[in-house]
Amino acid sequence: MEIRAEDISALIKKQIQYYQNDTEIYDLGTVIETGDGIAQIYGLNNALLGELVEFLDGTMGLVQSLEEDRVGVVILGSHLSIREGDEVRRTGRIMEVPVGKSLLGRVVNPLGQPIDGKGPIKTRKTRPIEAHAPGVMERKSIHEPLQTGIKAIDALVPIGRGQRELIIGDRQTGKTTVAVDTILNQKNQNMFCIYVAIGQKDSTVRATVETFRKHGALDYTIVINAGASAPAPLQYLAPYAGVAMGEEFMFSGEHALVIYDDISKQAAAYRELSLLLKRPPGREAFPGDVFYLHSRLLERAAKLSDELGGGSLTALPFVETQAGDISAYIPTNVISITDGQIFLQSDLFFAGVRPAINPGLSVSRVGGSAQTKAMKKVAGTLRIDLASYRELESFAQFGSDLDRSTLAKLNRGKRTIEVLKQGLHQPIAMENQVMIIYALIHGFLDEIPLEDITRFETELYPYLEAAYPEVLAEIRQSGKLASSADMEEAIRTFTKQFIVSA
Amino acid sequence: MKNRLKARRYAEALYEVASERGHCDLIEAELMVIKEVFYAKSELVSFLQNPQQWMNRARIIKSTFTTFSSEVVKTLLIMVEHHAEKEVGSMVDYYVTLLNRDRCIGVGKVLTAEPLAEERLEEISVRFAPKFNFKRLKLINVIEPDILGGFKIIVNQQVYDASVQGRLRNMKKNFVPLYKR
Repeated sequence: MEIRAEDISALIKKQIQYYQNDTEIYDLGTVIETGDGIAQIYGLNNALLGELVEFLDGTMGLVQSLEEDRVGVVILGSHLSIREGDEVRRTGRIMEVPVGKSLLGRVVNPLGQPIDGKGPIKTRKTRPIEAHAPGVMERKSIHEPLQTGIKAIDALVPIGRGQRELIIGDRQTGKTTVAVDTILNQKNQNMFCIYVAIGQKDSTVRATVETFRKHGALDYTIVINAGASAPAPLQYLAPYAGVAMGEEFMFSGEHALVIYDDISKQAAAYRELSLLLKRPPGREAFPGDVFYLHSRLLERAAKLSDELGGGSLTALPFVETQAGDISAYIPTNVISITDGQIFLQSDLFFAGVRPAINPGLSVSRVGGSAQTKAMKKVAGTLRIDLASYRELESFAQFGSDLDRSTLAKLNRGKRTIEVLKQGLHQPIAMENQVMIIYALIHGFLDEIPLEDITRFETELYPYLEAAYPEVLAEIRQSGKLASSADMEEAIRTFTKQFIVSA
Repeated sequence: MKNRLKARRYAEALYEVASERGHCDLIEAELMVIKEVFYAKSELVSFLQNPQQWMNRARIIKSTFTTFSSEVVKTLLIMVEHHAEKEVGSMVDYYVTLLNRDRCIGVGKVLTAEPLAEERLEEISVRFAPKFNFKRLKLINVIEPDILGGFKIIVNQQVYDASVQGRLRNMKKNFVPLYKR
C-alpha cells in the first residue's frame, strides 16, 4: 500500500476539524459462525434491524435477523477475511449509497463503489437504501408520457412518468432490448436513467454499457451491477441502491427511470439469504416476506405533487418466466403490484415479430392518461383492431372464399403487425410514430405490398423531415394532431413517389 | 447455543423467587458452591445422567445438598428432572449476571500488555464505572501482549478501547478508502 504525502495532510486536516480525545464506548459482538456470506454474531444486544456493523478488518455487514442473544448479519464484501471469534462493532448507521449527478455515466456496485476504473466518485450526498415511499398526499396522478421510442409500447401500452410497468417474458424474448431501447430514447427528454443489472453475466453488462456509450446514452445513465458472481446480499440490495439514487433525482424535481433487470433473480438471491438465515421457507421456498420485498421497492416509484417539485420516478421491473408460466409465485406477485405489464412471447419472437409484445396480454392501467393527444387519437382503435384480426386470422385459415370486408380487415391486420415491428436500437420519435400509425389507420398502406412496409417506413421519416418539417414540429410541440389535410398531403405525396419493389 | 438460552430460563425463575423472598445474596453464595461441585466433580453429572440411577436422582440431590436453601434444591431437582444437569454452570453464571445488573455492578476485564498495579486497577474501576452506567466495576486484569500499550476495558459486551492497537487500526482504516478494503 502506498501512501502519498497529500493523503496524510488531508487526513490530518480532517482530524484537526473533528478532533476529540474522548474515546467512545462501543458495543461489541463476537462472530460465532460464518459462511455463505452470512455471519452469526453473539452479543450486539442493542443492534437494530438493518443497521450496519463493522468487522475487524473494516468489512461491513447488514443486520438481518435478531434473536435472543445473537444477530444474523449479511456480509457486504469479502467474507474471506472474517473468522470465528472476531470482534464486531455496531456503527449506529443504516446503509446508505452515494447519490447525485456525479454518478451519471458510471458503473457502480450496489454499495455505490465504482467498478469501471474511472476513479473515485466525487459526491458528498448519500441516501439510505431503505426509505418510506411517498404517501398519498405527496403524490399526483400520472399525466406526462414516458416515450420509450418503441411503437408497440407507445401506441398500445403507453407508460407514464411515475408509473410501474412490469416487463415479463421468457428468457431470450428481448426484455433487455426493450430496456436498452427505452434508455436510448431518453436522450434530450429531461430524464435520468438507472439500469440495475442483477445476476447477469458481467460480459452481458459490459456489452450493454458499451451500447449506451456508443449511442451517447451513458451521459444520463447510471449502471448498477450485481453480477452473477456477486454474493447474494449484494444482488438483494442492488434494486434498493438503484431506487435510492433515483429518489435523489425525483426529490430534486427531476425525472428518473429505474430499470430492474431482473427482479426474479433478486428474489432468488433473497431466498438464498433467507434460507441461510434459517427463516422458514414458504411457497417455492421463498420466505414469507417476498411480496413485501418487491412491494416496498416498487411503491417508491411515484409522481410527486407540485409542492414537492413534481419530480417522478418510473420503475420498469423485469421478471423472467419459465416456459411462459405467468402464474408462478413471483410473476403473480409483481403483476399485482405494478400498474400493468408488457408481455413478451417467445413464439412471436421466433415468428419475426420483434419486439415480441403480445398486445392481448399487455396492459397499462394508468398510462392512457399520460399518452399524448395525437397518439391517443391514432392508436385508439389499434388494440381492438389487432384483437379482431387475430380472431379472423385463425378463422380465415379454413376457407379461401372470404367477402371483401373480411379480406380488407385481414389485409389491414397484416400491415398493422408489420408496422409494429421495429429494429434493434432504433427508437422512433413520437411524431414519426404518429405519422406512420396515421398512415396505417387511414389506409395509405393498404396498397403497399407487405414486404415493402418496412422500407416504406424507413424512407418515410427522412422524407417528412426534409419536406414537411412544420407538420412534425406541430405534432411534437402541441402534442396534438396537425390538421388532417396537412398530414394526408404529406403522406400522399410520399406514397406517390414511393417505388414499390417488383 | 440452545442450552445457554435454556439455562437462562432457570436462572431468571430462580432469581425472581429469590428476590421476592429477599435473600438473593445468600442464594448467590450457595450457587457458587454448587457451581464448584458440578464443575469439579464431573462424576456427579455423569452419575446423574446414568439411566440406571434415574430413580435415585432426587434422593441423591436431597441428601447431598441438605444444608442449602429450599429454592436452590428445588431448582436443582427440576433441572435434573428436565435432564438439564449440564446447564447448571451456565444457570449460576446468568444468575450472577442478573444479580449484578440489579446491583448496578459491572463485571468485566481490562486488557493490558503488562500487569496492572492493584491501585491502578482500582482507579480504573472507579473512573470508568459511570461511563459504563454502573455504580461499581469489578474488573479482572488480563494480560494481552497484542494490545501493545494502553488498555482496553470490556464490560457486558461493551468496549472502551484506549489501546495502541486500536489507535493503529483506526489510523489504518482512515488511510485506506472503503472500496479498497
